[in-house]
This record gives sequence, structure tokens and C-alpha cells, in this order.
Amino acid sequence: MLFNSYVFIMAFLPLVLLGFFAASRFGRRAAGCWLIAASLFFYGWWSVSFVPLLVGSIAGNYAAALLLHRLAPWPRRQTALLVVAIAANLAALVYYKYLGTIFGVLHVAFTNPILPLGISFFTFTQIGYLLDCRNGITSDRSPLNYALFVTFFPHLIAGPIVHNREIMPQFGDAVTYRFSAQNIVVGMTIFLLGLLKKCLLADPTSVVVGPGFAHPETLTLFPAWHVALSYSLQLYFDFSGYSDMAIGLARTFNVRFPLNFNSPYKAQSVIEYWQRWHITLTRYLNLCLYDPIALAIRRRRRMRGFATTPRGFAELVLFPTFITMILAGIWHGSGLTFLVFGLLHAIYISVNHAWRMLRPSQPKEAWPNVAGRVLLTYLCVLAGAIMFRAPSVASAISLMGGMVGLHGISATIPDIRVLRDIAWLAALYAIVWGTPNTQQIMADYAPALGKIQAGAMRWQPNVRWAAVCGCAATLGLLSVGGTGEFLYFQF
Amino acid sequence: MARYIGTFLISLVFSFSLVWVWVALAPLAYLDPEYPAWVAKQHMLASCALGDLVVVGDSRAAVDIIPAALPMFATNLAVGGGSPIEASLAISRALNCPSPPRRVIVSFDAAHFTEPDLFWERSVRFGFTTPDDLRELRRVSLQLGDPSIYDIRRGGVPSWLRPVLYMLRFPTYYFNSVAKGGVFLRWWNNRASLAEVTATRGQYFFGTEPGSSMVAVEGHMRAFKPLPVLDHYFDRMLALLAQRDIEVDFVAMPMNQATRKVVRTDVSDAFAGYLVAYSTRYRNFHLIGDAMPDWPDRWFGDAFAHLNPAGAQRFSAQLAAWLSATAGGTTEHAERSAEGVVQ
Repeated sequence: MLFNSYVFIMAFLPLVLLGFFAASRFGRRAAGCWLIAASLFFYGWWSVSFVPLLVGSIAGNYAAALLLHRLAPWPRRQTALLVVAIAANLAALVYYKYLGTIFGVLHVAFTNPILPLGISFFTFTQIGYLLDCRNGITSDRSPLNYALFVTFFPHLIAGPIVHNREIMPQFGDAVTYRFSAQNIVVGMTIFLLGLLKKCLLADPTSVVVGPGFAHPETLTLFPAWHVALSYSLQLYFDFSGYSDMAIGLARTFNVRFPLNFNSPYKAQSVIEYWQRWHITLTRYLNLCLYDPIALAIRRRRRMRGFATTPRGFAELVLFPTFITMILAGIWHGSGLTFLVFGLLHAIYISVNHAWRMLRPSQPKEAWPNVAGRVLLTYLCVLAGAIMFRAPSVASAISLMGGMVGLHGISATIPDIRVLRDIAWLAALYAIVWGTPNTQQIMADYAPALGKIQAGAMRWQPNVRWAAVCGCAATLGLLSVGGTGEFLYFQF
Repeated sequence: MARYIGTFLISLVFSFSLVWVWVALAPLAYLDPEYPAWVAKQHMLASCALGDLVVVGDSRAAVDIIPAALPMFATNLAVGGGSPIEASLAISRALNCPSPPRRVIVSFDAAHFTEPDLFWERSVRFGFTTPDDLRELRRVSLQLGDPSIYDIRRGGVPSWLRPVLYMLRFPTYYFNSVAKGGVFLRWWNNRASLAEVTATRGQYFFGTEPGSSMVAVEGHMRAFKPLPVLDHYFDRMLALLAQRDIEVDFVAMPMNQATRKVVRTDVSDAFAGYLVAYSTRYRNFHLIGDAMPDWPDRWFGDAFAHLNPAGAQRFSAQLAAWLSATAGGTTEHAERSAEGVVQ
């Protein structure tokens, strides 16, 4: 079930909300059980056959977590159990996501299993919990709160990747189970903004993307740029819109999720980009990969200030960066393109680190410098996005070739459609670079966990905003699950 | 908060109703340029002024056959995105007319037997199908176990509710067109198209480029496997025409040579075999010429193998000559003359 479907908006969500607050009258346990059941129904809507996998994963990981606590006096045994538990999680992930590719490389016949929805998200969420258990920093061991933490439908399928320490205490808090009109209104407003981003901005932008990436060799200079820019915009509005919807939905249940997108295309460096794009993934990778690797190296070397030498830089920055980003790339998919995507970003980040060491940033810089940095960062990210989307590395290179004029520079048919496409892209960039993001608009009502800087436009529960949001809701509802037009008729 | 929620709901209901009224009352103002063509054909069917010859089929048939160029009073009821379902419905309505057609030309490309294409987007959205038609389609789909067109969970809306929403012109199904059509900007063009298609008795153009070397859909087909539900409606249409003893000619529209070169042999053979099997089953049904004829690329106006105006004139002239030659003739005569249509 998608958030942007009528069945979700008109039936599932109202029923689950009503049921949740009705069940709350009978206690937290009843409300929690209702929410878990609703979340499993939500998950099973797509394919019932994977519900047992999800339930089994939760049961297995919870059992492993309890054992980890019991084995606390025996660190070696605890570590061994942790390794086994993580290996079991990764084995499931490898089986569903990567085994086909691996066998393909080895030329072994293998029928790819259907990938269970959200398997990466619920697997990594639980591995994070196991690591915290091993480190002794989990306090809440309630099975109900754990099941809620993993299954809670707003984040189950596409994130944000939540951390047990920020979510489980909320499910343990009695306030979460009290009806709050303000949270419903704030949550639904965030959801609405996300819905508009997804359905009104991302979806219409996607129409050129599929055909463009399918035949990049036919694209001359301008169409190639059109396809590449459209994809980067689609990706941002789609994913950040979905995250906004998830954050908004959680808020209607009085739960606050972490911030996941913070105007990433306004970043002035690739390092900053990753601090703004899919923030919860970056945080997860830092916590579970980058930091442990860097810390292990530092401990092994026992040298402070080691990073200032080229060898130190290589060991303490390059090595963990490359490992982390390559794994981040592979996390997104099993193809070679994802590996190259990870490598590209590893190179960007490494260069960025080196640049920072050589030329520390100035406190205030002229706007052309800032604009230049934003543009340079965006172009680097764009190259990565092309690799991310392309069906093969050759296709990605072909599209980039088109963008530098290797397929010719003839303009597209000079008709009204071209002007309309340019105007559409310009409008989207105006939104990306010129307007506050969802969290900034909602800043006065603490929309997400984390530090949020308020923007110029700030939502208030007044009549004017109500009228605007009512009309926006009409647009959102109209754009949900509507019938697309045949591409032949662009106008 | 109560004041906010109240204002929000009033604003939502008012703006949604406003859009709904517009969507229901003024489809010609925003729907895509196919809509007036479908409306024109519905008008022709409703008025029963169809003539001796009726053409049913897909967009290529709608473009390539110019009724005015034919030697008898003819009507082109082929529609863009049309499948055997629409053809069957059109024929059953035409046969209810006081003076039904005496001859029928059927033409679909191979893909229109194998893919659902645009049934909901066109037939249902444009009001070509009635609620009874949809109930029957549902019954047939369930009976055949083929949900490809009547997808039970399409869009998450229950299958019993979806036809009702379409009938009520529920605005979400039309919003894309409202947005792309600039709310009302298609009004003038659509009005002109409606008049034009009515005047040409159903013929209209898609691409009008002076040639196209783009590979059309057949070039991308891996196999020819008709959908059971489309096959059912094709069979139903032929059975109906056989009952009334009406001659039916399957005239395949030409594709460009760029496409023909890449069509897999097994696809073209299977398509031809499929049609030949029907001509064996129904004595009134004839496959005229090649099942996948090709013409030089210069006669095509777009990437979908629609003929350009010169190509359509040429094709219609050849078809007219063949029709003249075979009028009142025998089946053998018709088959002997067939090459002239598709060369």
C-alpha cells in the first residue's frame, strides 16, 4: 500500500487512527497491538507471503537481543552471538537482493526471488538495535515497543531509518497514546506537503526519465541535460516527499521521526550534501561503519594527529570513506552501477576532506563563491545520480557523453513543448533553491527530531493557512492515483 | 484548532467540488486530442449513419483509411488505443442499427492483441463503455482468469467502485488531463478536431512528419501471445458478424521498413498463423495480404507507424481500388486482388 493511494488516505489511515485512539482507552498495550496489527496489514497489502518473513525477522532479532543482554558478563560470547545474528540478517538480505547478481557474474543459473518490500530498511534498523544491545546502550527491552519500533508503518517500507533510542522511548511514553488535535493537524500538514512534492512535482517530472535512460545514445546535448536534470529533481522530490509523508504520518500518532532531508541541493560541498540527503542513512553509516572503522584504525595506530600526514590521511580518512561509501552504494542495489555510484561519492568526499585540510572555509564569503560551490556540488551529485539510475555503466557514460555534446548538439523540435519543459525545470529549481523546505515551513511546531532552522515562510494554524492548505489538499487528492495521459500527447 | 480544521474542510470541499463540476461539464476543454475523435465516433454510432462499410481497429486504421477515398459510403470507427474490446462493442452497436453495415474491415497491429494498452484511460474515461459493458468485461475476465485489463486491484480502488467513479467523472481520473490541458486550453483545438473527424467520417491524423525511421511496437515484441480476454472479444465480434453473414476483411496496416527489419520472424509467423486460424474457423473472415506489410519509411508520420497524409492517401487509394475490384466478387477474387492493397 502506498501513502499516495486512495485506499491508504481514505480508508487505511482514518481507520487506523480511529482504532489507535479508541484502543488507547483500554491501555497502551491494546493501542500498541492495534498499531502492530495495522502495520502488518499495511505490509501484507503488497504481498501477504512476506509477512511471515517480517515477523520471523522481528522474533529472531528480539530473541538475539535478549540473549545479548544475558551474555553481557561474557563479552566474547556476546560478540560471537552478535556476529551470528548480524550474519543471519545479512544472509537474508544477500539471498533476496544480491544472490542473483552474484550467480549472474559466476554464470550460474539462478531464479531471482521477489525482493520483499523494505527488507533493507527493517534489516538495518534491527542490526542497529543489536549493535546497541552489544554496547549496552539499550534500556527499553519491551517486546511490544520493539515490535512497534520495527513495524510502525510510516517508516517500514522506505524509511527514515529510525534509531531505537529515539523511537522506543516514545512508544513507552503515555503521552503518545493521548489524542492530540494539534499533532493530527501538524502531521497531516506535513503529510500534505510531502504528497504534493511526490505527486505534483516528482511524478510529472518523471515522464522523460524512463525513455531517456532507456535510450541515452539517441540524446543530443539538450535532451540529455533535460533527462539528467529531470531525474535529479524527480529523485529529490520523490524521496523527500515520501520522507515528509512518513514524518507527518508518525506525527499524527504523536511520534516524532528524525529529519531525513534538509534541502540537500543547497549543499556547498559533497560532505555537506550527505549531511542533508537521506540524513538517517548517513547517520546509520557513520555509526555502524565509518566511525567503528576509523576508531579501530586510530586505536591500532595509537597516534594522535596522524591524519595530517599523507599516510595518516589515507588510513584514517580514505580507507573508512571508501569502505563506507562502497557499501552504501551496494546497499541501494546489486548492480555495478551502484558500486560505481558509491566509488564516485567516496572520491568526492575524499577530495572534499583533503580540500578542507588544505583550505579551511572562510567565515563569510561572497555570494558568487557560495553559488559556485553549490553548483559544483550539484554537478558532482548529478553525475552520481546518473550512475545511480542508469541500467548499466555504459548507459550512464553514454548519457554523460550526450551531455557534453558527443551525440551532437542539435536542439530539440523548437515548439511550445520545449519552452514548457524549460519553464517546468526552472520552476522546480526555484523551489529547490529559493524556498524553505517542509521542516522549515513547519519549524514552529517541531516537525522532526534534530535541529531545524526556521525559514521565511512559517505555517501557523490560522484561517489563511487553513484556506491555502484546503486548496492544496484538493490538489493532492486529485493527483493521487490519477490516470496518466499517453505520452504522445504532451500538450 | 477547531477554527483551523473547519476552515480547512470548507476550503477542501469547496475547491474539490469546483474541480469536479468542471471535469464533469467540460471534458472537451481539457481532455487529450483523442477525446474528440472518440466522441465523433460515438455520435456516428448513435446516429446509425454508418453506410455500407465500417472500419474497426486501432489508431493505424483510424489514420490510414480515409472513408472519403473509398468507393462506397463508409465510416471509420477505429480509435487510438483501440483493442478488440472496443471493436466488438462498436460492431454490436452497429448491428443494432436499422440498416447495419454490409461489410467490415478490421485492422489491429499485433501488439493490440497482446497488451492492455489504454482501455481504462480511453474507453472508460472517454465514456465509450457503459456500466453493463464493464460488468460483462469483469465477468469474462474472471471466467478466463485473465485480469490484465480488468485488474481487480488497480489503483487500490475496489473493482465495483471504479466503474462508478468513472461514470461520475470522479476528478482524480481526469486531473492529469486538466493540468496538462491548461484547464481549458484544449477547448478550441478539440472543438475543431470534433468537427474535422465528423466531417472525415472518422479519419484523423497523428504524426504528420515527412517520414519516420523509428522502430514501432512490433519491433520490440519478443513473442506474439494474445491475451485471453482480447482473444475472447475478437472471437465474439467475428461470431456476431458470422451470424449476420457479414463479410469481414482483416487488412493489416503497413509498418515502416525500419520496423519490419527488426521484427522477429517467430512474432510475424505467430501473428499470421493466429489470423489464418480465424479465417479457417469463420468463412466470412478473410486475411487480406500480408499480416505485417511494410512500406518505405517516407510514408510514415511518427514513431508509431502511423502513415502521414501522403501515405494515408496512397493507402486509401489502393484500398479503394481493391474494394472496387472485389465488390460483389468471390472470396478467391478478393484474395487474388489482395496484393494491391498492401504493396
